[in-house]
Amino acid sequence: MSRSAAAVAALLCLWPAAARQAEGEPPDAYPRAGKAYLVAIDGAEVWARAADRPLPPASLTKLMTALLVLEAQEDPGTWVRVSALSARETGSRLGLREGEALSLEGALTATLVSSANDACLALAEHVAGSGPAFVARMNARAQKLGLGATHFQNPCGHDAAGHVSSARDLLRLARAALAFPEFRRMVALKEATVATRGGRSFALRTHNLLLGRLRGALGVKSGYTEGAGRCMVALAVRDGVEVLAVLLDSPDRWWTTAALVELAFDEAHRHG
Amino acid sequence: MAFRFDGLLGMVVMAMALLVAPLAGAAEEQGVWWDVTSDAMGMSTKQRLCLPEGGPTEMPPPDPGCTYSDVRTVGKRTTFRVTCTGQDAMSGSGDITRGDGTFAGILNMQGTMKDRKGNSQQMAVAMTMKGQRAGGACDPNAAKKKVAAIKQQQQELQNEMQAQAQKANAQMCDRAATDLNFRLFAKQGGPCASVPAALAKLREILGTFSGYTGYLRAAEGDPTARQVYEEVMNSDPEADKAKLCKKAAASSSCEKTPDEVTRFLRKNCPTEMRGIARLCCPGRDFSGVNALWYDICTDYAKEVLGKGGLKDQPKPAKTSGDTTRPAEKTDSPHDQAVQKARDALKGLFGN
Repeated sequence: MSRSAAAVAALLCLWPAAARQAEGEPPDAYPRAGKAYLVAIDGAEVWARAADRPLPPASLTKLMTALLVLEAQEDPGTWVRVSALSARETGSRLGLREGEALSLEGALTATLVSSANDACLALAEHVAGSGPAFVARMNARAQKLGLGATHFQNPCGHDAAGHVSSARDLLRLARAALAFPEFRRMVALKEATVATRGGRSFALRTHNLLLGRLRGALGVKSGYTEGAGRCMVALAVRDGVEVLAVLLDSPDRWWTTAALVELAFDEAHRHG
Repeated sequence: MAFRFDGLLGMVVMAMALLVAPLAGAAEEQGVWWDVTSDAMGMSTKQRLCLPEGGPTEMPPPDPGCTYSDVRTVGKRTTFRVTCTGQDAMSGSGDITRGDGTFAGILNMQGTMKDRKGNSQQMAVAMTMKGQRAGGACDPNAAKKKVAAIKQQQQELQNEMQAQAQKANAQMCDRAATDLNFRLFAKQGGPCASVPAALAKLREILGTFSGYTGYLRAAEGDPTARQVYEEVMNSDPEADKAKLCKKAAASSSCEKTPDEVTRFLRKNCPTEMRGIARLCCPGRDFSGVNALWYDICTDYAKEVLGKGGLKDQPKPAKTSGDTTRPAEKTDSPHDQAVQKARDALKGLFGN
């Protein structure tokens, strides 16, 4: 092998996007589905657009938060204390008060079902001692997972410079989280109730509108920020065929995801 | 009643049985009891019958449908002719002579009868009858009344059974129309093919959207369905479908349209449905549509996704959602303009 060829090969290994191009990137069959998207049928990528482009992932960030919480293997009944910082979280939130505590299971449910930022940050602080410490763990885990286009700046998905991920990384991250049955159970919930140690209860309703509408939808996570636009990771299974779709900045997120998933099942059926 | 021999014997038995009916001349008279012996074809019957005081003036005919003619009475002797028409036509003559407390008579009948295999047989029957007055008043018409009552009862029963059978058939055919059971309306052997009410109902149902959809479903596995459709509607099913599609499309106003009509459109009228989806689906709130419109708008989304995306499709004047939220950051001025018009910004951060 010549020196230059070796250099190219080395570059390909270090640069996932370039490697993909070399392997043959899936076609961009639906260019207006979103700024970036990726659809996989039974693990095989079928359609993609800018799948390695780093973009703000909004609350899809919480997939990593959940993964780390689950990997910590703590007792689900452990109380998670709400700090002043957590109680001041903005965006989607339960309205937890400083000093209150939720069970670890309850906090994770609120984080995944209704994307509650106060519960999310409380979890991060509980697991790592502080938000920044948790973010460090997130980035370390991302590196370990090979998420080359991913870098986190906060645990819950707020827009921030350098807080990015890609459709392909998020697909891989979702798969890692979906390996946990507890995660699968939570992201499939349409409704849930959690209560603080003091007995204050919260009725949660999923933000994932695909649940109960899209046939075979098993959940995963939606996200929105002004910087990220409307984002979605969706999982659906029909007749043993699994479709996993990631959309970043997809203006008509729900209809587009539903349509993409249907098209993917059509595709699977055609090649069945 | 037509005799069928088994044949002559049956006729004779019938004639004897008819003796229980009063013989002619008894209509207005007071009756008395008579012991009557009848003989025919070697069979003898003895009965106590209520007959006119002076004895009967006619022999019982072999069939109630037979008519007497040339009835002549001279003194105590009456002669007559009997003619029976119908399938087993017969004719004959007889006479009856009344004495003092007695009477004797004879009836000779000839004719052609058919056996069960349809073979014609010449036959002749002679029946004699002797009577001895037993005394005691009776009503000579009582038996006649009894027979008439029984006949009427039988007739009523027959009518009732017929009515019930007709009612059951009508009900079955009504149900067959509702269930679109085309086989029962088949001209050849279909029990409902000539039941006007059921045919009218079938016609009415087939003229509806759900009825036509039902016809299509039936036609998939049953060639009779199309045959019956053409006979009942007197038209071509495909032409009717095109008319129904136009009618449904003309009356469609998105979700205000009855689901039956929308389902018809979705199943049978792809061109019209596409047009309607183009009008009704853009900008629709994902969580605000029912299951039927979810499917329609998902189909629409699938179709347009490959043609530039949903955001380039025309939108209705007003859509639901929170318009107070900031527009999302987009790539181009065009996108930004479109985006500003959108009121689908339903999720705050974290959605």
